[in-house]
Parts: sequence; structure tokens; C-alpha cells
Amino acid sequence: MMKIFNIIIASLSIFLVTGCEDIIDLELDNTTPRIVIEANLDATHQQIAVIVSKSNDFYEAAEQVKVMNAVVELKGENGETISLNRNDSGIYEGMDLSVQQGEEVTLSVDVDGVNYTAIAKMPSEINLMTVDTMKFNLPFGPAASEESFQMTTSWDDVLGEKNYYRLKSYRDDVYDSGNFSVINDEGLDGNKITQPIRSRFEKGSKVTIELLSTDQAYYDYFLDLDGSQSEGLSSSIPYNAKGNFSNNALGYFGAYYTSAITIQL
Amino acid sequence: MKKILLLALFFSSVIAVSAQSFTLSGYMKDQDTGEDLMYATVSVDGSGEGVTTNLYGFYSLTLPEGDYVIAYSYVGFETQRIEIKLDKDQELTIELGSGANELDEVTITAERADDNVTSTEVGVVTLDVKETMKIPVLMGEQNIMKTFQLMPGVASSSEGGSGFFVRGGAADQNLILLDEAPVYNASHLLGFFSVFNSDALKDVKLYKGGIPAEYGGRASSVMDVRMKEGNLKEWGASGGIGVISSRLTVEGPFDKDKGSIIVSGRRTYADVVARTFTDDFDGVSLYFYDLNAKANYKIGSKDRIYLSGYLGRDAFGVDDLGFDWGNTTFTGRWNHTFNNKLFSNTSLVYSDYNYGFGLNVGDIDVDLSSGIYDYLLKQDYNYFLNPNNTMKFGWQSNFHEFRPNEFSFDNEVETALPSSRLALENALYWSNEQKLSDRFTANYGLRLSSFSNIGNLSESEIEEGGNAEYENGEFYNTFLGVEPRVSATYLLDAKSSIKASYNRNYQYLHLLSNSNSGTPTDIWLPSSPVVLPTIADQVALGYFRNFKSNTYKFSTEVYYKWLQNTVDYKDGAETFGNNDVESQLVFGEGRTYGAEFLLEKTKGRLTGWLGYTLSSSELRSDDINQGNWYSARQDRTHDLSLVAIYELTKKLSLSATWVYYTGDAVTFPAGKYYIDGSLINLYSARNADRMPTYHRLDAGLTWTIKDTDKFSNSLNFSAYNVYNRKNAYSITFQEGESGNTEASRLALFGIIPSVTWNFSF
Repeated sequence: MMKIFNIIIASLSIFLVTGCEDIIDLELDNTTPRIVIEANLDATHQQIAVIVSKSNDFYEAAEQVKVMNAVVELKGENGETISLNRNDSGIYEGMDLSVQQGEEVTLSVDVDGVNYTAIAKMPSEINLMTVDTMKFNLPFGPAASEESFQMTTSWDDVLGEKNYYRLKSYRDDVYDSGNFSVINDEGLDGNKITQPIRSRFEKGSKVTIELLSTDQAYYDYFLDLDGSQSEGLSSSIPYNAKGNFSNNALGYFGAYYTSAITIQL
Repeated sequence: MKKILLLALFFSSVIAVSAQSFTLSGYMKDQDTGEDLMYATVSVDGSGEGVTTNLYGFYSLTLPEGDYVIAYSYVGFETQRIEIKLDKDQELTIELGSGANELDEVTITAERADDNVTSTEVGVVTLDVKETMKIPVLMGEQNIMKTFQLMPGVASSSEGGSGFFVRGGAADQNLILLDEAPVYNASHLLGFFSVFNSDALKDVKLYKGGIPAEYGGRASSVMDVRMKEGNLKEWGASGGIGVISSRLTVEGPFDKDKGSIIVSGRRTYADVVARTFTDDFDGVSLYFYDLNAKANYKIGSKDRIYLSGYLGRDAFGVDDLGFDWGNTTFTGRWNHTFNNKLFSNTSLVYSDYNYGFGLNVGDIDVDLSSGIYDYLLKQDYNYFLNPNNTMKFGWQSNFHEFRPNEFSFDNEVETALPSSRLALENALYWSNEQKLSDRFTANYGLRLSSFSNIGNLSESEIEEGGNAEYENGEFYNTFLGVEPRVSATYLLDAKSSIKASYNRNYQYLHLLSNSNSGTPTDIWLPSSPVVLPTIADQVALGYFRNFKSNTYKFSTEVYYKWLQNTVDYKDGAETFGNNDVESQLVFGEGRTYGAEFLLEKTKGRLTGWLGYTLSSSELRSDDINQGNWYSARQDRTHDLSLVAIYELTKKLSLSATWVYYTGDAVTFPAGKYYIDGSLINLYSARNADRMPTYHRLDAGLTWTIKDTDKFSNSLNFSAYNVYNRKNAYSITFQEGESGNTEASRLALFGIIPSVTWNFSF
């Protein structure tokens, strides 16, 4: 319904418009660069990857400015602390962890004397059960003749606790970025959850569907991020998605178990 | 009722008791049409004592026994002086002529042209509907709401839009009344046109501050629109044919001098016009229509009945998809004079606003609709105690029904959504306008309001920790509001005065809107245990001065307004089709202040005004902007309007308006960053940026082809945005061809010429 409404409004505006759209020079206040931390703890593979970067000026060419001199430490519930080392591509990594389901871990990132801390809580391990493919042809339009596929996934939710999920997809091993939608088990506690994938896939491609069973911090961040990216009439005043790091750092620290199914179309 | 009256008498500090006093009462009317003259003056020649007529043209003047010369006057009409020997109570109805048949224009002696200086009204804008016709407008469609936006303290909400902000208040803080019926969405076609068809209007008044006790329910302003009653003397018609719309009004007496009727309609045909120019609109329909109707009848000398209604609808359709929205109002009124001092009006009002989507997929109809429905009963009394005290008191009870989301599938209502919310809003008021000395007049009053949420079976309210169900018909929550209203005028000399006012207003309904233009799908939400009523306190101080025997009028007012419990969406709020809207809100406070300047020229070949406002409007909420104050979207630092009408010859007049204002406060990105392989915009503080400054010149030419009693017609040419300024309606950011991010400006209107032919007979 939302989409339909946007179409209406768009047509209405076109209809009334005698004006035009053009490119203008608009000066924006460039704030001092802010620290962005993207920290993912993969409990299935017992590894953690942390990207520390700085925000760019808005009009500046968009290359990620990684922070190379950060001190990154992961502390388990038992107080044991591991220092993460930076690899060649500037990512701070930790391998062979021993985090357990339900454990709370703390990530500490020091950049130029400022400390940013966040806590993640290990979720339950839940695995992707099935991925069904269905041939899908658009009824009209330029792409109508192309053969494409839709996917539906399913897995079993764990009863008696709140569970959070995110589905990611890869085409020929390339990540489909830009889809931040997340799911929770409200109203489906302990049931089989069936969820379609938003994108469509072409014949001949190798598709990997990955299910993340995430902690709440991860879910909350991506829900907020998804909301901040929405456009149209239901969109709100622009804002920055809120993460769980202290000291106003952008980004998040989240933990998840992951499982994937690959299909050759 | 008697108790209230006694109470009112008790509170009135000066009660002139005189055994030999008699009362002169009656009505003032327009000689040509029989329409009541409201706010007209009845005064004792030479003494300064006098009263003004009420909204229905009724006056009552109580004086000691004696011989008097009574002057009846009204702006634009010839003053009549009547010698009266007052030795008993008398009734006298006076009809004033506009002097149009006299030799020359100067014979119209607008005796009370200094009303702006002497009246106790502070922060009030009155418009002469006839005068607004000369101002150039978008697509030739007359729009009183656009004219109001040219006055200081009133800002337009968007390019071409009818929405407005009063003294830094939000668009939903304006109470818009059409014959006492609240109008919930006063615009057509996304705001480019107002629902008010100027042909059917008699009087419009906007209270920016100093809101009298008889009005309430909104935090910032009251716009009181009154429809014409219909000519009591003779039948006539008037209308116009324009580029995108036409209108026709027919009025006349069905019982001469006793009963009359007026019917006025308007219909746009923009889609038909567009289809002749381009193929893009095949299968598209887009139009709106308005219908105003009013009838009145005098039953004896003490009673009169009025029935009035408005029906307006916008419709949009593409093939199997339909979308329409609109207002309906009905007002039934009964005027009754108990005696020569006590006048009453009882009104029964219905008003609704709703919208609906319809979609036909295959053989299945899907419909979604939403609306607000009001049922209101009110009584207003005017008590003309003596020339120094005029009291008003009354009550009203308004039953609101909110139907946020109704969904039906193949005509069967499918959903178990909260079907509707119910609320009852009541008010009781009393006020007195008292002349304390020759120089000092005060108007003071009190309004008591209440708002109750009423349980409806399927309704659930969000409370901390969960939902609570309320029993059907249970008054589960009630707010009470005490709203003092005071204003005073002190005459410095015959030409200048100082005025001051304080008022408190409670607002129990909140409009939630994300967009700039005010879309048809904006949701009205009642106050509830979660959403507290918005409370506004405003103080204002003004200086008024007229020059050159009222040719020039100057006024300046400063104001400060505090707002409590303002409502805003939280970051990332999901609103469309959301039944749990309360969970998407944040609450805060507001402060607005400003200085307004207005210089008017009211006589001569060149008339018009220059208005300027310097102001600030800020909001604060714990959940937004780290709890710091931030600019409200409608924060306009500078707002300047220039209006000029020049009479070239008797038949030809030129007009022009120029507006200039600070761009809206908006949130632009201040940087960008990577998350999950995607580039995300980084924002600094809420509303810390500005849209580019807005300015625009419109020009018009009115050619009166023929102007006689039997038939007159004229042609109006107008051009909107004469120097084709590309004012930004929105700014969006996109990746350019070179890989850089670019700012893209959408300008809605270039220069738009239009022509309208108007006639009356």
C-alpha cells in the first residue's frame, strides 16, 4: 500500500509541476570526522572482525578511511582479555575464541586516547533448514522475458526466548549489500519460520543464502539503520542509526551464529 | 444557565445600576443584500460610549433616559446618524448603504477606520474578502489562506501550499472553523488550493494571539471563517471561469427580508486541461470540487434559524486505482433573543474528514480508509449589560470519533484493528469586555476545558509494560484545563494605543505529519494517558498608530510563547498503517518569540501593505538532538511581504506581491560512512541546516469590463513567480555521473500565467 501511495504522490507532483529539477551548489557544514566501528563476532567460527574507520566529508570521494592505530580488546565473561591484531587490509581480527551461548563479551576500542566500549550477548545457535527456489517471471515490462528465481527460506525458532535474525545473500560469492532488514520471532516463538528473500536471482548464478541468528544489539542497530534508509512518505526526519558503543561512536558490536545454503541456479 | 448568568454578573466589577436606564437594541444590516454586519459600531455621538454588533449583527445599548444622536457605522459603509428620544426600551434595525450609488468614492466615511487602534483585539488579522480578490494568485484561484500568509506572524508551510504557521506554532495548532465547524484538512490538491471558495465567504478573521475565551482547542491560532447568508433582497448569481477551475454562486430570498439561500460550487478540471497537452494523463483523473450551501429564516422577531453545509472532495485515479479525500461539515444554528440585552445562539455541528484508497485487482476490491468525525453542540450567549460591559459566555460539547485504519477486502471488513477511538471534549467559558475609563479597555475571561477518552471495545492503549483494555463506554481518562484569557488596550491619544494580552490554550488533538506539504494521509490523534495535551502560554505586547487620518496604519507586536507537551515523531518512526502510533512519538517543549511590523496604506489609488516578522521557533525533547534545543521546521528568522494594489483607471487595477523569507530548518547530511558494505549518510544536529532563502514576485491585472447593478464582469490576469525564481521545494542528494555526490533541487513552479473571467448579475 505504501508503494502505491508513493506512486500516487509522485504522479500528483509531476502533474502539477511546471518547474524542474537541477543540480545546485549547496554548502554543507562538514562536521569533524566521527569514529565508525563495525564489529562482528561470528560465534559459529569463533572469530571476530572489527573495522574502525572515520566518516568522510559528504561531497568527498567515497573511500573508507580506516583507522590503523586503534587498540582493540575483547573481554570474556570470565575476565579473560584478548588483544586483536590488525591484518593487511586494516581489519582487527581475533581467531579461535571460546565464547559460549548466552555469554556476555565486552569490546573495547581505543583511538587516540578515546575509549569506545560495547557489549554483545551470545545468541542461541539456530541453523538455516531449507531454501526453496521458485521460477518467477515478471508479467510485463522490459525484464518479462528473462527467467528469474525467488527464494524462500525456513528454519526452526527456539521456544521460550526472544530470537533475532538477519538473512544475507551472495551472488557468485559477491555480497548483496544494502539490504538491512531484520526479523524477530514475535508471534512465532518456537515455530518454523518461513521467510522470502527480497531480491530475485538470475538463471546460471550461484546463490548463497546465509542466516544469522543475532543478539539483540545487532538486531536493534540494523532495524534502526533500515528505518533511517527508508524513503517516501513514511520516512522521517533524517537521523543516524544508534548503535551500542559508548562515547557516541557510530556503528555497532553484534554477535551471531551463522549457517548457509548454496544453490546453483 | 441562570446560575452562570448570576455568576457572570457577580464577577463583573462595575454594574451600573440606574433606575432610569433604557435599552436600544436591534440589528445592523447591509442595505443591498440584507446580510448582517458583524463587528459594526453603534455609538453615542460625541461621548465615545458605544458597543459593537455581535457575529449576527445584533447590538444592545443601555443608556440613561435622554435625547441622543446615535451613529451607526461600519468600514466601507456610509455612517447613519439617528436622533433618538430614549424614554423607553426601543428596537431599531438599521440598514447601511455602501454609498456605491453616490457621486464619488470619497463619500464613504469609514468612521471607525481607527478600529485597529481602539479595539481590545491584539494579534488579530481581518481580511476583506472582496479586497483579497485583487491580489494575484497561483492559477487564478482565489485563496484567503494565501492572503493570510502575507501578514506578519503568519508563514506559509510550503511552496504554493495553504498550510500555515502562526507565530512559530506548528500547522496543526491552528483551529480552522467554517461556520463554527472545525475543518481538519483545509487544503485541496496537496495544499495548492484551499477548501474555502471565496465567493461563498462573508468574513474571515485570524487570531494569532489574545484568543478570546469563546474559542479553544488549539495551541496557536484560530481562523474563523463565516459563510455568506444569502441575499435577502433579490436573486443574483456570480461566478468565474478560469484556466483550471470554474465556480458559480446563486443566492436570493425565498421569502423577502425573512429567508434566503445561497449555493456555491466550484470544480477543477486540471486533468482535462492536461490531457489536451500530453498523452501522459490518459486514464488519469485528478480533480476536486466544493459545494457550499446555506439557508436562513427569521421566525418572528426573536428567532432566526440558519442551516449551512460544506462538502468538498479531492479525487485521484489511475486505471484501477483510486484515492480520494475531503471534508464535510454541517452547521445548524438557532439565534434567540431572550430580551433586549441577552442574545443567544445554539449550534449543532457535524464535521468529518476522511480519505480512502481503492484498488481493483482482478475481480477483488481492496479498500483502506481513515477519518475523524465530530459531533458538536454548543451555546453562546452575549449579554449587553451596559455600554461599559459586554459579556460573552457559553459552553460546548464535542464528541470525537477517530477511525485510524479501516481495511476491507472485497467489501468485507477484514481487520481486527482498533476500529475506532472515542473522546469527549467539553468547554465552559465566560468573558467580559469592560471599558474602565475613556482610555482603558480590558477584555478578560476564563475558559475551562476537559477532554475524556472513552473506552471502545476493541481499543487498546499502550501503557508502560503492555496494553490495557477498557470497557465499552468507560471514561477511562480525563484531562482538565484552566485557560485564562486577558487582553487590554490603553489609548495614548486619538491615534495611537498600546495593547497587551496573555492567553493559555489547551490542545487535545494532535496531527502527526512527516511531510512538508501536509498530505491527505496525515493522522489526527487524540490526547490519551500516553499523549498529554499540548499547553501553550502566550504573552504579547503591541503598539498601534495611525497617520494622516487613518490613511496609514502602523502596528508592531512582540510575543513570547511557551509550549508544553509538544508531540513529534521519534527517529525512524513508522506511521503509515501503524496501529500503535503512540509508540512512535517523543514529547517535549517549545519556545517561540518574535517581533512583527505592519505598515498599511488603506486609501488612495495605491493601497497595500508591508509586513515584516523577525522570529524564532525552537523545540526540545530528551530523545532528540541529545536533549538540546533545536530549530522547529517553521523557524523563520526573516519573513517579509509586500502587497501593492494600484488603480490605474476606474476600470483597470494592477497588483503585485513580493515575499521573501528564510528557508525552512532542515536536516542535511554532514558526511558519510561505511556500514555493511554500504555508504550511509551522516547527519549532524536535527534541523541544523537551512533550505535556500525563498523569494517570489507575483503580479496581476484586473480589468473591469462592465460594472452595473444588473450585470458586471471582469477579467483577471495573473502571473505567479514573475521572475521565474527556482525556489527549492525539496533538496535531495544523489550520486552524479562523475562519481561525486550532488545536491539536486526540485523547484515546483516556474512562471505560471493564468486568466480568469468573473461575472455577477
